[in-house]
Amino acid sequence: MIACKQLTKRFGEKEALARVDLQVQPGSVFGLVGSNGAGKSTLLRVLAGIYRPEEGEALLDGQSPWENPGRKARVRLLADEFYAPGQDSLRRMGKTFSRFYPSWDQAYFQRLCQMFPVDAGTRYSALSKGNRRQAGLILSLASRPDILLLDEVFDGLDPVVRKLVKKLLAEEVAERSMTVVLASHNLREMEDFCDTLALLHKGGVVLERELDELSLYLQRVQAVFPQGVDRAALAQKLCIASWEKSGSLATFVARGNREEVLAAVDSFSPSFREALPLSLEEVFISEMEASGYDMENILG
Amino acid sequence: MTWKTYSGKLGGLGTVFAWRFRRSLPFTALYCAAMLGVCLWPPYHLMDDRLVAMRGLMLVAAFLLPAVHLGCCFSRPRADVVHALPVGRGSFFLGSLASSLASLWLPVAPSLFLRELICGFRSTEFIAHLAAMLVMGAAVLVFFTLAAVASGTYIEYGLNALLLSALYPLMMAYLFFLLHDVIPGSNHINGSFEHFMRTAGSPPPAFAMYMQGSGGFGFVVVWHGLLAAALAGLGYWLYCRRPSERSGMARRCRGMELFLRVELALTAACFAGHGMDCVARDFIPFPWGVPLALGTIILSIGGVWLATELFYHHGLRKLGRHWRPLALSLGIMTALLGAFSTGLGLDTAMPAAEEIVAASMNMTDGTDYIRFGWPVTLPDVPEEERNPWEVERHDTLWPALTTPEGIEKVRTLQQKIIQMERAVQFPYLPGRSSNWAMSSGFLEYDLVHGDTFWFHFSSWYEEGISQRAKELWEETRTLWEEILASEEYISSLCPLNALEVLDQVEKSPRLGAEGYSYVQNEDQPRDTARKVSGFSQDFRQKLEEAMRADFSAGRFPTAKELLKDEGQLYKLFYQPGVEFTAQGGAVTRNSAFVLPAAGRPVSLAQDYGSEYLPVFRVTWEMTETYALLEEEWNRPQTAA
Repeated sequence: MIACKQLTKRFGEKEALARVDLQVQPGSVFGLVGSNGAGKSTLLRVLAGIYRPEEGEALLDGQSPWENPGRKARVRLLADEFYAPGQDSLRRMGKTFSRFYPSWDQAYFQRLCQMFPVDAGTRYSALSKGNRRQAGLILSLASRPDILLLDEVFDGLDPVVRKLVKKLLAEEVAERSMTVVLASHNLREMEDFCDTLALLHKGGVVLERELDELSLYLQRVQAVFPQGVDRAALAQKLCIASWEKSGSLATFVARGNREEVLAAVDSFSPSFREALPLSLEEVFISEMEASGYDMENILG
Repeated sequence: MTWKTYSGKLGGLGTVFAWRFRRSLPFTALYCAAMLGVCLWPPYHLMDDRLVAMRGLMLVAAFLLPAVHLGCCFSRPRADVVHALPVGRGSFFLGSLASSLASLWLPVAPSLFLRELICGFRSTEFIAHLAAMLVMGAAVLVFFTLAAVASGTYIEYGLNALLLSALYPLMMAYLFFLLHDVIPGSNHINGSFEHFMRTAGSPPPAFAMYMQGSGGFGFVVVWHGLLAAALAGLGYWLYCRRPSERSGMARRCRGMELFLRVELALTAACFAGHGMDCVARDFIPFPWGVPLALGTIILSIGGVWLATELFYHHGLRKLGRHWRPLALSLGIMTALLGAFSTGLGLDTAMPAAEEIVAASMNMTDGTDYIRFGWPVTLPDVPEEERNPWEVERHDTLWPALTTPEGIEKVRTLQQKIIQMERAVQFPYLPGRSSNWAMSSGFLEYDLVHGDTFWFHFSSWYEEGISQRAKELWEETRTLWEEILASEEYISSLCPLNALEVLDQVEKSPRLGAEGYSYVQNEDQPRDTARKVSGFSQDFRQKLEEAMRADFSAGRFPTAKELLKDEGQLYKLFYQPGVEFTAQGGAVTRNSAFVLPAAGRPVSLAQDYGSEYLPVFRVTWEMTETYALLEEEWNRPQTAA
């Protein structure tokens, strides 16, 4: 299990992670979403034992990965920019990694090389961006890690390879209870794939929910209040994430399940009201807005 | 045991070593080829040139290897891969360092062996060079590796490596200049110790300049071995604590920033202090030299602090928060000047009387040439041991005091000089010699084991000093002149000492400054020269008396007169190769051992195999000698 307790990481005066509390269950696919600079990649590097937190702790099965080769042997990070020596081929890199990772599976490596459309004998520097990412994925999966940390893994992959990656990850999760932590901006991919999502903003966790729960947790409500109801009045009964009003028509996002939200709206005698579930992207924008992210300036 | 389990038992160190070594094989191959190439390349006629080239190649390799092996320090994607590996940072550092070392060392022994084979194998030389190249080369490599660990980009690594290599020797050079400026008589610090100290903290220049076979060479190698081990330990400690996020980011290592800012400030302070002391010597009246020199030192430290703040932090907004470099620089400089101000015992240091074989003294007052030595040969040294083309192989007869009384007088003179220096300004501070130091001089003690103890000082104070200092100056001058006028010292002056072999006298017009240098001993008699045998029978005796009278009264031909274009002078030519008994002075054998010369048979050497003869020029300033020569020159000549 991955557990972060009051995890804080600073770069000089900037706080990249601020008292993050998280728990990731074994065998789950955990998504990390957030704005640019929210701390997603930093969190993954702390979990991989690359960065040392200033305060708090990140634990993998109860032990810190920092300077802990035993723990690090069970974790693989595929960072957004995967580095490999330019003159080495995928096959050569496989040999190198096989010496470091005790769980390296050479047969699986060879099978993966056949499954992905990448030439294992070509120098790394001669590979395209997408092929380099595939090479990184092959090397990561062949290490047979217990925890796989992926940063923007689908970036640069074509739809066929993307599907293959998802399939392979799903197999590893199902067969070996591998834990996957996935950081991405691509909410559509996350929606399809993750069990649980955490939203990071300015180094802190704004929201952490299971995906099923998340879609039911926020409601977009459209209601007409002939006698006019303002946000402050409604906020006494509902937790409102965002609010817009045009005449007597109010459009807002409220936290809670559908029944609870509609019951609260009904108490203000609307002439019309309806509640619709939000897409993941709408949840993301709504929560970011609630966290003080200036969406109007960003989106125009 | 398989390789995997074996390397696992080493904490991954073996795996890292194998990985890094394999990665650097193309570089290593190129370097090995270059090393062997310089040993075989025909244009190098001299074997030492090949050594210089080999050391140059090793320096370049030692600089590049950390960049090859610790690329993760300069790139975040590399750091992500390397630091995520299930290997401790310490193991990774040591594995990479071991791999660098293996690459650096690989071609050294074969190349040196090849060089020795070409120039005729001498096992002692081979072992000395091998030890120096392996140990000092390792120190250089570890030094650059440390610079790499403390840097975040390739450019920063280059800059840090350059600054760390160059600043320390510069700082030490100016620190010693400052020490010699401040402490009178401190020049007796052993030259090889000073030379060693100037590069002791910076292996690259030490490696570039090392002299195989020079004194203390074994110690230098041992020192670099210890330094390499200490730097490797520091590098290990730093690397284990180095934040990965620093990779790819320049100027993030606070320790390196602090070190370089302090080192830069101290270098500037020593340079400024020495510079201002030199300026004060000629242009600033006493006692303003001291506050001006101290002010310049403080200003230079402050200036470097501001300039480096701009470099490291792009502005002065947070200047107040970065006070440590300023405080440390000021603190260290204050401690150094405080230590110098006490004299560190260097001003009062003096060899024991029983250790001294000969004592001599000289002053840069325009008559110092009279106290120069003349080349001689001793009959008990076989001719085949001499090499007339090597100046160092000559013996030298020179003026000195060798009796216990004479030596004691020079020791007393030294004590008086120090009393005077302390009365003028103490505790010693930079700028103390502001223009009351009109000239400088030195005392020299030659010791029983061939060592020499030099005591340099500035003297002849004129204004701005206390009454007590003036009195001591008078006492010093009186004693100085008393020694110069003593029978023992005058007998040791070469023109008088070798009078027995005076051969010819010539009256000639002066040639002026362009004709010859007044310190030049070599000359050739012309047709107008006359043999001494043609002069009156008691000429040598009368000449000796006249010379003694002139020398004891301090009448020497001065540079001013010797370099005049008009007028005439007498040249006294001495006969080389003819044995005579020295009256006094000392003889230096083969530039090393000094012996008292009195009563010893010697003969003047034909100077360095040339046709020139030892000569002494007499101007009218030596009134009695000149008058005697005039009288003899104008007397009708008798048959030779």
